Amino acid sequence: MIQSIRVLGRFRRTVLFALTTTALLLGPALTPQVANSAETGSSAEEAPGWSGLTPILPEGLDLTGHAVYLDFWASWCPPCRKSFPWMAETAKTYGSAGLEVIAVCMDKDPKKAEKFLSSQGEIPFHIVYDPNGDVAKKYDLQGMPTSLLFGPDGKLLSRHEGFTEKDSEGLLTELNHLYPKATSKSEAH
Amino acid sequence: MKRLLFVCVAVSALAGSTSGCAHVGVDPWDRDILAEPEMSLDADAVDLGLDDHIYFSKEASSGGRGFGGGGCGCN
Amino acid sequence: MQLSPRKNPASLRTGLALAAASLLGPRAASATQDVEVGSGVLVYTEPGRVSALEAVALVTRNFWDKHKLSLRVVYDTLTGASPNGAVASRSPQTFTRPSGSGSYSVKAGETPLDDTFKDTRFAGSLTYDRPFLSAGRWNVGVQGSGEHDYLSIGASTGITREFDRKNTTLSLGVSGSRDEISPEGGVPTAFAEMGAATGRHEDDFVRGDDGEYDENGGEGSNDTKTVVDGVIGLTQVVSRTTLVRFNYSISNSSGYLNDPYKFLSVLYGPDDPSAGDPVTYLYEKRPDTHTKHSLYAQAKKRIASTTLDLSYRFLWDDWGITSHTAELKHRVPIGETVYFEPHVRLYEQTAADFYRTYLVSGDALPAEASADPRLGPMTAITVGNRVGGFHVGEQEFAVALEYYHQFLKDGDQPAYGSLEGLDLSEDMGAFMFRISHGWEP
Repeated sequence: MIQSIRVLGRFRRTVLFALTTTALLLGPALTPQVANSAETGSSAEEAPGWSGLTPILPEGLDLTGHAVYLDFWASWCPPCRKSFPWMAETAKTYGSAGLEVIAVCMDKDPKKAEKFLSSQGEIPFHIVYDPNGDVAKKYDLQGMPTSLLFGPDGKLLSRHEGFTEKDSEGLLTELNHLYPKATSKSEAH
Repeated sequence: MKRLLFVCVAVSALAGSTSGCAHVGVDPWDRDILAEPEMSLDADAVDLGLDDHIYFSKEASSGGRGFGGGGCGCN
Repeated sequence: MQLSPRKNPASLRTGLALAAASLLGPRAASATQDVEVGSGVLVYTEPGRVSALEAVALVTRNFWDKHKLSLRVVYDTLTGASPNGAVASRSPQTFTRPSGSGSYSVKAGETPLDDTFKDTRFAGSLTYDRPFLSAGRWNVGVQGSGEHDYLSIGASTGITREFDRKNTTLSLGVSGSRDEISPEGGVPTAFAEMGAATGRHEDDFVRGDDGEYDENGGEGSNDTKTVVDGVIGLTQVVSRTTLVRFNYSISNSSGYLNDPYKFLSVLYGPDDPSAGDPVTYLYEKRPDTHTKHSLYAQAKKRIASTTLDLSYRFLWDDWGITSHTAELKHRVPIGETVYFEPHVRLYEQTAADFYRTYLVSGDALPAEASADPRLGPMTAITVGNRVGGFHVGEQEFAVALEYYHQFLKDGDQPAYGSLEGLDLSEDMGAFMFRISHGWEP
């Protein structure tokens, strides 16, 4: 009996130690969390407009007056691959209303990108290449994929990291707001 | 002696992580190789689990691997 | 304006319940689901000794936005003979079976092995892993494992947080388990004579000086052990081709830490005419607490098209054991998907302070003693090769064959009298064959 109480005491001490260590790690983990989201916000405001893309845009493509959905992707990034059908759908729905979808391929190995692209069938949006990240650097990417939505005036409307169902829903709301006429068409689909 | 060793490793690990902000690390678009399954630190989890159980029952030491980190860094 | 990456703050309980439902329910439940399945079988055999078969299945279900539920099920079965701790002798030795009924004999000059080992174990764990704050993840899990004489239940939780474009990952985990040991024939009284395991016993040959006997001895009795583990880790992406990880782990066990099936030989002293011959056998006694610390470093490096995996672990504990483990794996592709992966593992440990090859009749009984070869000094090497990357539809297979050798070193105690010329720390060799499989439908 006495022994079991002794064991319990030791157990409590160990648990206490574990909890203290958790608090120590959680503390710093929580603090930069706040700082980080603020940082992402400010970088979104400071990011150049779609003009940063100019060096890699196809000749003759003029984005003036168009809303631009800019997506940085790579074939080795699963959520990037997952966003392709969604981007195709979006380009079809809002393209006629004026949206330009530009997908910036970050693959270093062009063969891998080609292999992926050829598996996608028809791609109704622009694919441009930035294998060394020269353009991506200007947009301060934190992860892949990163997408930016610019209004027809060239102003950044939203910036998004990752691709999930919730993200795509939020983006559609944004696009519907920009192009209310395309909305009815999209809902009919 | 053991404590000294621990302090040394802890300090170098910490130094590694803080200097990481400046020089160590890659940009998100440079993770093509890290994204490959065999570059994952937890690659072959099934094999590792089977092996660990053998060594656990044949030696006085066990554990230590931990979890997390690396990979494609995709959002 | 910025789109919010926040997730629904579902409570953990709801999350687990829904997660379980989606893992077990029909596939059409969610639009973003995907499943990963892994499984493996290991055949382990020590020629002339133990053979084991272990099968493991791992199912991970991804759901919602980056939530994961993993179920791991393990089955293993073990049969054969295992060292019982006693030393070899010039004459045949007879030991009582742990159950108390019957006995087994060991030939002169041979390492005593208990041939009664036959055990089947089932183990399972369920882990739920979800995003936590903006750049973190949080996991919580439960695990259980059962054998005819052992039951363990436990829980674990851990968090990870990413910094600097996900180049740095900090992780922290804790886990605890409560084990119940109910050995065949009951919990032996520490230092009791073999065959007298179930009762109190004052032995005639070795004078015990601490008199601390376990209160729980007796047929059908059991005892418990509590284990608490903690790990803090740092993973750092060094370059496009290099990744390193450092961990510090601590583990604290308390309660019944003896091996109920291990003995110590008590031998006639050097001055006795029968010097070195066995007088009797005592059950072992270990401390009732054990704290282990370990430092672990691992590096992954891509070199040309090959992948190098290097790791090193330094472990020390309050039983006086220190160990070094170094491991190297080199994955070399030899085709579109097929690869070779040679593997070398080196291990060295020092003995526990209370490790004794044998006890000497007439000497004072130490506070603790164990002759379990796993607590003795040893060096071990594993060499093997894995061939993988075989695809059959969506299934991927790998096979591995390895050889493991333990070089047991002699302890501090000399081989005297009739022990001279006997192998008191016989090496052990084992073959391991593994097949593993992965499937991502």
